[in-house]
Amino acid sequence: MVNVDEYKAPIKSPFNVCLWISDLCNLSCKYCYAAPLSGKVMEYDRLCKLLDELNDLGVFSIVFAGGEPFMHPNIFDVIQRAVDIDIPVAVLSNGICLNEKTRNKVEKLVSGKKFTLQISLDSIDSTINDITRGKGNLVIENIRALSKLDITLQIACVLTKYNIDNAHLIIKELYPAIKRFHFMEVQRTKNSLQNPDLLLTRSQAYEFWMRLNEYSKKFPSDLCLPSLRTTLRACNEGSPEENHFHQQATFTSNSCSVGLTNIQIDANFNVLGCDIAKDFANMGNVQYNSFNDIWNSYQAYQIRNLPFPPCYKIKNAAGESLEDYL
Amino acid sequence: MKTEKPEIEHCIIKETEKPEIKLYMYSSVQEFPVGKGHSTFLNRISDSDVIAPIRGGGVDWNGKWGEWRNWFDVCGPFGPVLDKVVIRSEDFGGIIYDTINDRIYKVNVPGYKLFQEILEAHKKKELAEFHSKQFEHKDVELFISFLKGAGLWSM
Repeated sequence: MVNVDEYKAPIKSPFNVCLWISDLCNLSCKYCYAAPLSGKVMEYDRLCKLLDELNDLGVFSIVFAGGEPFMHPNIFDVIQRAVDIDIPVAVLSNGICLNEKTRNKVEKLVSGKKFTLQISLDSIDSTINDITRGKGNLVIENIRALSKLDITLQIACVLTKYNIDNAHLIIKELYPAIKRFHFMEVQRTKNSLQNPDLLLTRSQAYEFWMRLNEYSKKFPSDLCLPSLRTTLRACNEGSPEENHFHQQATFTSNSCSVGLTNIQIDANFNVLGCDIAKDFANMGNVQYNSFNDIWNSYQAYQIRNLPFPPCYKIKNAAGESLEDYL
Repeated sequence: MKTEKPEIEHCIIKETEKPEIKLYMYSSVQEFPVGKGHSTFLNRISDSDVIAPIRGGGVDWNGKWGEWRNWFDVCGPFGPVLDKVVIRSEDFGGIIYDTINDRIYKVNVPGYKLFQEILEAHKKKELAEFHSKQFEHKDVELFISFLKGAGLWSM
């Protein structure tokens, strides 16, 4: 007989759930983690019930992403529903749809609530931005208009060989109207590995983080660079006391954090243990099942106990994968 | 047979298990357990195009990190940290999420109860005079000293 307790997750729910509510997009970024897009959107009624379930399970925060979430036909109702249950909410957008009417509507919904709107921008120079993303001028115009409203904003900047030299200058252009900047290296997804010209070497990445760290010292302490902070901690930087403290972190897993702390749910309600290796981290489907049932299922248990990170199975343009070298 | 109820008035109930708290994750987006990571997984493999973006390029990372900014000092001003922590119960006790410093802690069942007491006192602005109703003074002191070290005791 199968002992279901054996598959029970070590924590009762993930800390963060990212819902890919729209598999539609009006850009086609070269490194997109979600591509190829199916064109589907998440069914609204099930989505609402899912939000309640996740809240009841104690999930710390909800993220709406895609595709472009503002292309979901019920996006305003979705935001309203989420902020009303008083869970911290973020929407990850490319900024294209955020015209004056949409901006004002969003401000009305989220003013005074636990809400962050993240807009992606790879460079303040639109010609550089448009190599990887597109429509830079429009996005910058929308960001500047949004920064005058009562909405907490964060800028997300993906680092590639094209913007690596000046990506940090986004801060100078937008601070103090915007205080949060999330820089990230290109995720090694199936899509981005087909564009190896985008990828940074470790030395290039190192030089960027070094430059960003130095540059950030010019700004007051309310400038928040969450990814720099995590990168530094991961690499055991800082004072001896801080390093020692972080070395005590007791989190354990078979390989990486897949299927444990940060979970994605796609427009078809597939629960994915990882956003990079979505083809290799499916934990089950919550269209007709409760999240709790999937979370404690055998399939989820298997994902959490993979022998190595599932992203090592992703093949590059030459058909090689990291798995081949293990 | 009717048993006599013991007199419990004015008696403080003490837990037998001591309250414990540990750092669980140094960030809510921590990807690997401490001491593990891509480099550990990839140590055995040779250079190739597919791993070049992950492997080093002659840079002494460890030597350089120490020169970087200390992020203990760069996350404010946000007000008292205890205003911004989120807690939830688990079978083993509970999880505490420090949303300002982006760290996650694990507590056992007594630790969860004690932290709830502390949060209650914080709400009533009685933290400076805090005394637990459930736990021994020395155990509470130990728990609080951890909170202070972790930056979770700002009033």
